[in-house]
Amino acid sequence: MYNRQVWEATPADTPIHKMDVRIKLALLAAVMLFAVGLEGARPLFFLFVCSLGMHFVARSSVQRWQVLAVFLLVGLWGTMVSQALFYNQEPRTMIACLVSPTTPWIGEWTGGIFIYREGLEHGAVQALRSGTMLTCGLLICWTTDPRQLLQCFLHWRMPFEVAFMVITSLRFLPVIFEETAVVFTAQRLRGFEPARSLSPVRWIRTAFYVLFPILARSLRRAATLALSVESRGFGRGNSRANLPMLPLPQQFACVGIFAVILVGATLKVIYSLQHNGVAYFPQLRGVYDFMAVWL
Amino acid sequence: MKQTIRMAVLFGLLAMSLVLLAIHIFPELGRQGKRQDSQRLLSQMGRFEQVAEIPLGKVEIRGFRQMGSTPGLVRLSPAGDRLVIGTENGDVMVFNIDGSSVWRRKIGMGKISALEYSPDGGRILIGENSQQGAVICVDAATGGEKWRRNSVDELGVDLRQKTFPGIMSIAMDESGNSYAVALRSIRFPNGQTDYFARIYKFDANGRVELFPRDHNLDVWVSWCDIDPSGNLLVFATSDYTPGPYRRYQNNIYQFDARTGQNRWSLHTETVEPYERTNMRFGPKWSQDGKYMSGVSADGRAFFVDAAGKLVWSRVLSAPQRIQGIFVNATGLHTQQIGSYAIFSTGNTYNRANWQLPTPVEHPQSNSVFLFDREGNLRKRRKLGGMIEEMKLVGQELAVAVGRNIRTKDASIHGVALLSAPELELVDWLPAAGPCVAVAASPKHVVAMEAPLQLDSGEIVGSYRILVWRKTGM
Repeated sequence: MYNRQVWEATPADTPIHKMDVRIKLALLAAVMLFAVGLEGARPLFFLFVCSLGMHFVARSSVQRWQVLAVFLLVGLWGTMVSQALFYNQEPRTMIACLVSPTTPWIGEWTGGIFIYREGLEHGAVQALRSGTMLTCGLLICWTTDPRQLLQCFLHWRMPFEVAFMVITSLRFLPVIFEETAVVFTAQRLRGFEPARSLSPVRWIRTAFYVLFPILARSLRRAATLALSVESRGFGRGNSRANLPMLPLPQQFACVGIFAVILVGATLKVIYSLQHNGVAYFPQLRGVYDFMAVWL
Repeated sequence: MKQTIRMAVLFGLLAMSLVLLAIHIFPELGRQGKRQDSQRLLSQMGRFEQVAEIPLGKVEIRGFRQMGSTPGLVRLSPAGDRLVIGTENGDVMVFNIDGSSVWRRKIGMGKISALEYSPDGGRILIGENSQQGAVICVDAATGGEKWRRNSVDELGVDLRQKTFPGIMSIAMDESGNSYAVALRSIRFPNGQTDYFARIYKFDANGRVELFPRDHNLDVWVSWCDIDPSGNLLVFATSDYTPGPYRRYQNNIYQFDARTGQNRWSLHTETVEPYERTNMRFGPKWSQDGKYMSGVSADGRAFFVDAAGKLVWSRVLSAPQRIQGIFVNATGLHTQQIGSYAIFSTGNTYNRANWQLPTPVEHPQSNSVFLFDREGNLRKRRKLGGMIEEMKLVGQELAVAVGRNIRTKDASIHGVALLSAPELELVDWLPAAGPCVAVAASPKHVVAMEAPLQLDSGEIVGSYRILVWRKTGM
């Protein structure tokens, strides 16, 4: 996980690697919009499984799968458990009691701590959303050279400053993980054992011991970077990059992706108008039913 | 080695999480219809054995604090070999009586509010509550839609206030005509309520006639019945904010089903503390077409002849003032068998607010009453839980018994089979959760069970269909 190689894009001979960066970004945008727009657990699960399948196509390494699995498990169960504990909508069904309302002090103070079934389900939907975005984001990260991304952003006339920030953050990601490993190693050499106890106080103390050095080093690196780019006349030159025309099949793919986004957005708007009592079109009843049942 | 084990655990956890999620999101993956022979359960008297359990998915789990039952409908085909189920989740499903699936379809945005087989078993009529309040006729064999008729054209809709028209009930006559009661109500902030109700008559091809022909009823109508000849349509009314401006002030109306003319209407006296007689289920025609029986929410039974004359009325449960509030057991269902009428009462409710608990249980609550045509009480049987539905089959009455919100006794859930008209307990088909619907044929009894959360937090029962078959058949 702390290996820099795991985080940086590596070349490979797979359809995902060969795909033009513009198609990848269009696909990413489509997935993100659908992950936010879809409300049913079924289509979200389908989208999530598809995004995981893309990693198989991209032949992600075992180390990368390991990283992905850690993030997904933490996100999935963390969201589900937190929603299950703090769900406050009605109806809600208690499926377990962690702290009885009659328990002295904490029970009386909190009114009891329960796990709610509807909270678990709501958490699962949220986790699928974030899991899908994370999976697709990492896929782009691991299969695309940041220079190509920068070129693509500039080709699309993204402001140079914004494009630079996005790419810098991507470039910094492996560096931060590598620095975390360095800090851990340094702490261990000084006799510190962060995982020796499960005490929350100790974990908080560990977080401080680890985070402060990383933050300090990041700030120092950012200052150096700022000085470096300023001295080279950042943003004063021609910030437009020209990419070659996409081949025809990829152009069709791009148009198809945008058509899917457009159709999805239109359906969502139509359904929202009906749901909020603004406009209902009886002739679209089939569309409403499809949206209610499947999306 | 340690690294490999760690990785295996990690990927195993991820795979297990995904599988658990998939099973939860797609419950049909684990759906088992048929019950295994080794698991067969017998009814209390051993006359019935449970042959199938059909899970219906997840629904809100209610406790004893919420009034109102988990919605759901179940009907058996006239031949008794198939059952159609309408669920809270908007599924319409047809199963063979052994629990194997035939077809299923989603109703979409609407909520299923009525369901009936046609007398020949070839069609199924589905009533829904939605922006269009449609009656949908589907092919019973395939689930394909034959026709659809919206009630929104007559009853209107307010999208912003979400007051949608809905089909409250569907009745069929022997000629294959169906009668659907549609209703929309609007509650205003000043407490006043406007009602828009209409009754639709459809022939087998979906051609429609309206009752009344040219205007909406301005009262609550949720039930209608057609006499055995198919000529006389009768319905009762309710009004929870009565006022002198209502056009339909009476309680029972009869229309000529051929011409659409109002033949007569009947007004019944009110009882303290009620301002109006409200009848939600009934009236019901006798098999000879000479009488109708009805039951009012204030706990009275009515017996009316075909000409609209009140033959008698009897008090099933009288409102009682306890600790400053009126409590009563609401009158619910009625059935007629031969020269007898059967009535039922439900849970005890608080007149001031039906969602609030009552200090005591009404002694006449959750009971079935048998009267002869002269109005003599022949028998009363208390069943301990809410009488959710009654179905008469041959000489037996199948009664779905649900929650008792006062005693909170979970052992009373199930289906009671009573001899008709004697009301003797013939058999008891137990269920873990409250039974909210029942259907019966000479060979089978089918019940819909709902989950219930006890005060201890324990959940009993689940949202499912239980099928029992007569032993030895």
